[in-house]
Amino acid sequence: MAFEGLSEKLQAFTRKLRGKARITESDLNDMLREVKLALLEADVNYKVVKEFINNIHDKALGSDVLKSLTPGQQVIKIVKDELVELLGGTDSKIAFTPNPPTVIMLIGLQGSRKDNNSRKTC
Amino acid sequence: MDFKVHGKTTTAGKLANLLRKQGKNPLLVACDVYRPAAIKQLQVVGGQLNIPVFANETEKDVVKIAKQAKEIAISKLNDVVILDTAGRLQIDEELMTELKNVKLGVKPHEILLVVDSMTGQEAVNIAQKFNEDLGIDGVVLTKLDGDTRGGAAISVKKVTGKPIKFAGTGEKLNEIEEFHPNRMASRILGMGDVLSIIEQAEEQFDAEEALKLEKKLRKNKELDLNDYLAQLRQVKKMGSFSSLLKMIPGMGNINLNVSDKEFEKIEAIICSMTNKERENPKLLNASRRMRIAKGSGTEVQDINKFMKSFELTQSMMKKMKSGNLDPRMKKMMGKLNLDKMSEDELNELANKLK
Repeated sequence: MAFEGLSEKLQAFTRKLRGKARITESDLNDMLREVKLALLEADVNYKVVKEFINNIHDKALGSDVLKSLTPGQQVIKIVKDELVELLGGTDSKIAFTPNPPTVIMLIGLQGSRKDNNSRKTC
Repeated sequence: MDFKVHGKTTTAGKLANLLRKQGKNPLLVACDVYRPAAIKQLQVVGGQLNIPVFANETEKDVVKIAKQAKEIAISKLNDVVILDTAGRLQIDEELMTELKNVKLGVKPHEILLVVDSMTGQEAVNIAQKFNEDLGIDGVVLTKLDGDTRGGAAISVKKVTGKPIKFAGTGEKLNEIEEFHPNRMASRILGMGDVLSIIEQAEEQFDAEEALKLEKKLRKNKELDLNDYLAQLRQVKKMGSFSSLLKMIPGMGNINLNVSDKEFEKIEAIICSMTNKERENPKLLNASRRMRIAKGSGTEVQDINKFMKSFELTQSMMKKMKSGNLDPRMKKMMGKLNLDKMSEDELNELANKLK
């Protein structure tokens, strides 16, 4: 399954958060640092990571998370929302034309699946 | 071995298969005029899936081929045309010009870029380049199953501004799924993805088969090994057991030792039985069991264990039918994995049931 390494780290992060009754800003910063490292390790584009972390930081501070009753859950929700946004936000489907046929053009470089296919052709 | 086989051809087949499941009538078109093997491959893939493939091996002009394909699609009432274009080892001018010509000539409604997520940031760079030069509508990420890090999947949208529309999740021709950011995020955070399981189950579920079984059980007949095998195969169709487990909330990071091999073992055992034995498992005496063990490449113990758990399933089915299942039992069944229990545990459970 994809995202194993990242998944593990983020889950450890959410587990840590869940139990906390109170989160201070320095707690948050420490944790976000870990998330940042996890994302970078997962080979996510550096600029993307930076923006992601900043967004979470701002939102977490802005929405009075630190004062709310379940700060952990709040932060997890923000992380999830941001992650959804990063992965594309809403579902994007193929736009079929009302007057068929819909033409779909597949492009790409060679080798995108080559060992899979070479195994098949062997 | 052909190392130049690229990803689009398989993906084209997968995509056509997926769209057909959604009620479309796709036509695959081989547009790779440089590699005769690519045309052949598409024809093989199309043949496996029973999806029509259009190819014109004498024509060297891709735009013409695409136009011909469009006309054929109209006359044969195919409502989706999938063009499998040529690939290169690198992005070069020639390739871009050809693709641009096709774009201008055919005016495709969707241009999907196929990239290998295993290449990580390179995939993102390729996507960016194609988007700048040609303009794409979306990305299909292949081999998402193998990319344990997932960096490409996370960066593509942000860097290129184009969404991921589909993701290839395995080698089989049905292993492609629509990409749902929301569900993917839940999966990454270990919140599970029940929606996808339900969809997969619905897709593979054979309503007729289920009805047959239900009728049989209502007629007061016992569950026999043929039914068991049919059920087993239904579950197997949904994909590997371990990948299903990952989608269940909270199960993502538990390393359950359920191997698909266990399934295969049971399948082999049942397949090594005669029809009579399957209908009446009580026939199985020691010498029959020995024969089955040899036939299925297992040990007699495996068969004993399996038969125990099967008998248990049988008696549970009976109890359920009569409707007097102990609530404690119901609760237990949720967590039960009969095939993983030791013989002693099975015995204990069987005693409780009696």
